Amino acid sequence: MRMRAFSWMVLAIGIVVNTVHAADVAQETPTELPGGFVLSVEETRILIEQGHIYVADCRSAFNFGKGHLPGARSLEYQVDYHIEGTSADNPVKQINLNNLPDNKKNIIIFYSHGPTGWKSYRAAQTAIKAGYTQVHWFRGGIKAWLEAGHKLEY
Amino acid sequence: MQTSRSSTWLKGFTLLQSWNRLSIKYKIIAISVALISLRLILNGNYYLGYQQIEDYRNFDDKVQVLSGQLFNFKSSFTEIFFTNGALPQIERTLLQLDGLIGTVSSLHFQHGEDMKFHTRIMDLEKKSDQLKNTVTEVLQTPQILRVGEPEGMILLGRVSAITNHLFYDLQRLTTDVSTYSTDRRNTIFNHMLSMGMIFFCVSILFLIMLYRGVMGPLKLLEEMRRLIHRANNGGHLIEQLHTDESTTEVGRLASEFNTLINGLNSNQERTSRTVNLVVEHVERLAREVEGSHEELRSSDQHDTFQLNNSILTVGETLKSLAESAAHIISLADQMANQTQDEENEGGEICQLIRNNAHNVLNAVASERIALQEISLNLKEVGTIDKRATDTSNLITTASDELLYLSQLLNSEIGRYHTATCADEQERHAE
Repeated sequence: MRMRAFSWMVLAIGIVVNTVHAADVAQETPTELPGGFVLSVEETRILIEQGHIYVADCRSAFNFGKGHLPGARSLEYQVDYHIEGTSADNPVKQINLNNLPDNKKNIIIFYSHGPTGWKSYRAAQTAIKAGYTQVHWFRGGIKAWLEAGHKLEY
Repeated sequence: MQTSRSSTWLKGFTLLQSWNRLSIKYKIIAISVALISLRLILNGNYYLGYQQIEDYRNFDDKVQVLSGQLFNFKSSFTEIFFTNGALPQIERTLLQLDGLIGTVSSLHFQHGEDMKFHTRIMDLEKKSDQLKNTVTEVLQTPQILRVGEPEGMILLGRVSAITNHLFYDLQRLTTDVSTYSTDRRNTIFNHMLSMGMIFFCVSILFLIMLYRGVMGPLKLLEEMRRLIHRANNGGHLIEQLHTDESTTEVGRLASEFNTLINGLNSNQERTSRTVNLVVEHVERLAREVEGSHEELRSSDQHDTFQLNNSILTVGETLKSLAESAAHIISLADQMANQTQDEENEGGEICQLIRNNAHNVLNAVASERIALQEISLNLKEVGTIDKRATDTSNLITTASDELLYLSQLLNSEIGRYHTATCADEQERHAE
């Protein structure tokens, strides 16, 4: 009897922990970007085809190497130890603003994995804060791009 | 024109008849050749089907090997970054890459022409070339082969992506090859099964034909043995064997047997007719002898009786004449005594009468002598008659013997006809 009760309790705890973890994982990014523009797949494609834009892939370099949007550059949102106060105990992730174009009126598109990709959202916010005026955020990211049937570049 | 000629050629032609006319030796040879040919064809089909299955299995195995090589390469290549570009690791990775490229080339060389997998193999080759180029590019800048180097990580990601795509393509190819191989194997198996069943049925048919071709003529031998056995046990050889114009060895033997039976039958019929003629002749002869003897005996008896009667009558007449003559002589003597006196007149008359009476007596005497001769002759006639009676008895006995012989022959002929009818009925019944 005790064993059965214990089993049910373990199962219940497992379900609760899993749900919390899943909620944490599945936490989505906002649908709007203050000071910037949110792009759809089609808008992104049109802009990429027009050219003269800067497409920043905020995922890891390894994932960038596995495939990225045409013309994209790796701008990994990672820990920047050059920022003051950053340490192993207090890691501060940041994009390398030096890799962004000098002209702050250039069109820049940030993207990452998808709607749950906070890297691109935060990178876009950083760029807006840095004074870039044409910051675009492709919220759908790689996932939406592939779902729309477009191909990646290697 | 062609049709009429072919129809003329085909006229009266049936496969069964032609087959039956074929010699047992040729039948066995033909069916053995047919069975061996069937076996060779079946073996050939089996070999071809087995070879196709083996080809696809090798293909499948090669794809699996390629998958393993790719996995090893990926692991090896990733380890390069974690060993910060250690040379042995790079060399091992290059060797594995070469092996992988070689396997892809081998696939392309052996199965690239197979249009079912042509596209997939081309994709594989294209991606393997891309992988080779990427790896070559990466290895040209060994300073980036570190985990911390973003460019190195990008290359690593690219290689990973390419290997992932290769894995994906290989998986699809493996699935396709396995599916096609399984389908092909099932198709070939079904094909082989149906071919085998057809060949089995045809072989059974051939064996039945062979059995009939060999055992059919042997039935003639059995029938021949039965006829000979029946003939030995008092039967007759009126029945013939059915050879159906067979030209087999046993068929020719049966034909010769039928010819022999025909000769025996004709001889038997000829003998029977001769015996009938003899019987009829003997019967007629017996009847004639019997009739003639009876006639002769009756006529002899009648004549003898009449002669005896005549002789008796003549004897009686002679006796009465003699008595009359004696009486006349006595009367003449009395008259002579009475008329002694009257010699002149009566004496002459008496003398005349006496003379006449003596003449009569003389005549009677001569008649008696003649009668005695006749009697003697009659006795001789009796002797002859007795001999004739003996001869008649002999003839009767002979005719009886002839009749018995004819009855025996008749009964034999009757038995012969009865046996013939029985044979006919039995043959019809069979």
